[in-house]
Amino acid sequence: MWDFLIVNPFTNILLFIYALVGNFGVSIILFTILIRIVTHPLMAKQIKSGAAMQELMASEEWKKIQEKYKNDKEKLAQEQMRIYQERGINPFGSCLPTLIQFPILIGFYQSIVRAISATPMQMIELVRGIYPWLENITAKASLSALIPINSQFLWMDLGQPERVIIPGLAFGIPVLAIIVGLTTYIQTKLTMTPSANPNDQTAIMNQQMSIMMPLMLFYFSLNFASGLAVYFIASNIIGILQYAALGKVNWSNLFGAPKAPAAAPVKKSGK
Amino acid sequence: MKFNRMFLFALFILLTLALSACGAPPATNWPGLSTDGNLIYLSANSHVYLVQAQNGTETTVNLSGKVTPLRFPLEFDGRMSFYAPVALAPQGVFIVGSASSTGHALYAAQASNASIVWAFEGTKPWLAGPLLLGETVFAPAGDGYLYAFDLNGGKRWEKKLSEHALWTSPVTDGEHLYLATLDHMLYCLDPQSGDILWSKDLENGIIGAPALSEGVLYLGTLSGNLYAIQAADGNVKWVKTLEGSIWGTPGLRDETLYVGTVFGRSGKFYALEAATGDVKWFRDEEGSIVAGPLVLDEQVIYVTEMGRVQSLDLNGAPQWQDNFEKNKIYTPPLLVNDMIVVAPMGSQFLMVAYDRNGAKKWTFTPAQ
Repeated sequence: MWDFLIVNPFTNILLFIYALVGNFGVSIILFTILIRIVTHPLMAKQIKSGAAMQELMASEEWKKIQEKYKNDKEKLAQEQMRIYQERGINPFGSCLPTLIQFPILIGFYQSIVRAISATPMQMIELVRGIYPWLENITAKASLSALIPINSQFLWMDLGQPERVIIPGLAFGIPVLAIIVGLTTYIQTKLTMTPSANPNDQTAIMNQQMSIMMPLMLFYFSLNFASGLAVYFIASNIIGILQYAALGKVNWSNLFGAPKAPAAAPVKKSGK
Repeated sequence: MKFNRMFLFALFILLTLALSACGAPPATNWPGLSTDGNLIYLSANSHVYLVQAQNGTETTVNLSGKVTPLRFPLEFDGRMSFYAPVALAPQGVFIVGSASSTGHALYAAQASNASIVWAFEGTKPWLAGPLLLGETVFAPAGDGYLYAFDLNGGKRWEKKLSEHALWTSPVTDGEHLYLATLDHMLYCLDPQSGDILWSKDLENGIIGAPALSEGVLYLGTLSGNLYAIQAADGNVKWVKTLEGSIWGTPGLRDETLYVGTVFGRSGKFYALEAATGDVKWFRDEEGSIVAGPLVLDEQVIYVTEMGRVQSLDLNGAPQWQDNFEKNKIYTPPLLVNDMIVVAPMGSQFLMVAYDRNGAKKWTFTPAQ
C-alpha cells in the first residue's frame, strides 16, 4: 500500500521530470522544489504554531501557573488547557504538520533510491513500477527511453557515494557529504526558535538537534548514493528560503548568541 | 536532560534504521554461483564461500594452528562485497570483482587459502561475472569498460562500451566475444584487440547475457522482445515479443528455447522453437521469473521471485517443485555433477542442493 500510494507515484513523477529535462540531478532538485511547494502550507502552519507556543511559554501567565501548580500535575494540565483555549493554540499544531511531512520525505527518499537502481535487483521494482501511460504523454518517458537512467551529474555518479579524488591523497574527499553537514547545520541554526530561558528543555533539545541532525545527514551522505546528498542539499537550501520568505530566519543564531523573545502579553482569543 | 538525550538518541537510531531499511543499499544484488565440480563458489554479500559440492560443507583451512572456514576474504572487510559468479582460472585461482560501494577492486584469489594473487583497482562496483578465454580474463566493469587481463593481472586492453555500468557477462564461441549492455546494445568484439566487429541496437535494456548456439545468439530485452541474432554479422534472424520483460539468459536444448518473464508481480515461462521463435507452450507462474532456467536432458528447472523451484518435463508438464515461502530466488539454478543447486535470498540457507527427482541432498548455512 505504501509502495502503491507513495513510492511508486513519486518515482514516476521523478522519472517524468527526468524525461523532460534529461538530467537526473536536475530532476531531483526540481522534484525537491515541487515537494517543498506542496508541503509549504503545512510548514507555514507548523512555524506559526511553533512561534505561538514559544510566545506562550515566555509569557508571565504561563510561568506563574508552572510555579503555582508545580506539585499538582492534574491541576497544571487543566490550567494549561485553559490557556491553550483562551489563546486559540493547538498544542499539537506544530507536531502534526511535521508528522504529515515525514512520510512524504521518506517516500521521496525511497523513490530516489529506486530510480537510481544501482544493481539489477533494485531495477526490478523500477521497471515493474513505471506507468505505461507515461509514454503517451511523451515518448521520452517510455521504458526504452528511460532505462538506463544517466546517473551522471556534474562530477558525480548519483548512484554511488561521492568522493573527490585529489592526486597524492590516499583517500577521497566527501565534498557533498560535507556540504550536506554544513547546510543542515546552517538551516537548523537559522530556523531555530530562540528560547526565553537557554536552560529550558526546548532550548537544550534545539541545541542537541543542531548538532545531531547535521551529523546524521553527513553520515547518510557519506555512505549512501550521492543522489540523496543532492536531495538533502536542495532541501536544506529551499527550507532556508522558505523560512526567509516567512520572515522566520534568525540570522543572530548563526553569527551570535540567540536572541530571546520578549515575554508577550496575554491575548484573548476573542471569546 | 536525560530524557532529551535518550529521546534524541532513539530518534537518531530510528531514522537511521528507517532510512537504511527503506531503500536497499547501492550494491545489493542476488548471489552468484560457479563450480569446478569439486567446489561451489557462492558470491553472497561479504564473502565468496567455497563449499564442497559433495556434502555442502564449507572447506576449512588451518592458519597458524587455527582452523577457519575457507572463504574470501577470510575476515570480514567492509570494502568487499560479492554478487557476481566467479571465473575459474588455472592453478586453483578464481577471479571476482567487489560490488561494494566503497571498494572497487577485481581480485584474483587462491582457492586453497583465499590469499590474493593480484588485484586491479577499479572505480565502480563490479556486478557482472568475468569470463576466461584461453589465458585472458575479460571483466565487465561498473565504469562501462570491458577490461582484458592476462593471468598475472597485467592489463591487455580496455574498451568503453557503455555510459552505464556493465551488468552482463560476456559470452564466447572461442573466437569472438559477445556482450550486451543496459543501454540497448549488443556488441561483438575481437578478444585479441577489443575492437568492435559489429554492434546492434536492440532498442531496450538488456540484463541477461545471450545464449549462444550454432552461430546464433538468443537474448531478451526489458520490453519483452526475444531475439535470435546471427553471431557472424549481427543480423536479426527473428524477434518475438513475449508478455513481460526478460531478465535472464534463455536456456536451449534440442531446438527449443526456454525463457521466463517478469509480468507485473507474476511471471510466464515459455518454450519456443529456436528456429522460428514460435511459441510451443507457455505456463503461468504466480511469481516473476528473473533468472534463466537450467535445461537438462529430461527436464527444465526454473526459479521464481516467490521462492519456488519448479521442474517441468520438456513438454511443460510439472515434475517436482519446492517452495521457500517468504524468500526470493533470482540466481539461475546451477548443475553441479548430478545435483541442482539453488541460492535463495533471505532464507536460513544460502544454498540448497537437490537430486534430479527433487529430493534435497543438502543445505548450506555458513559457519559462524
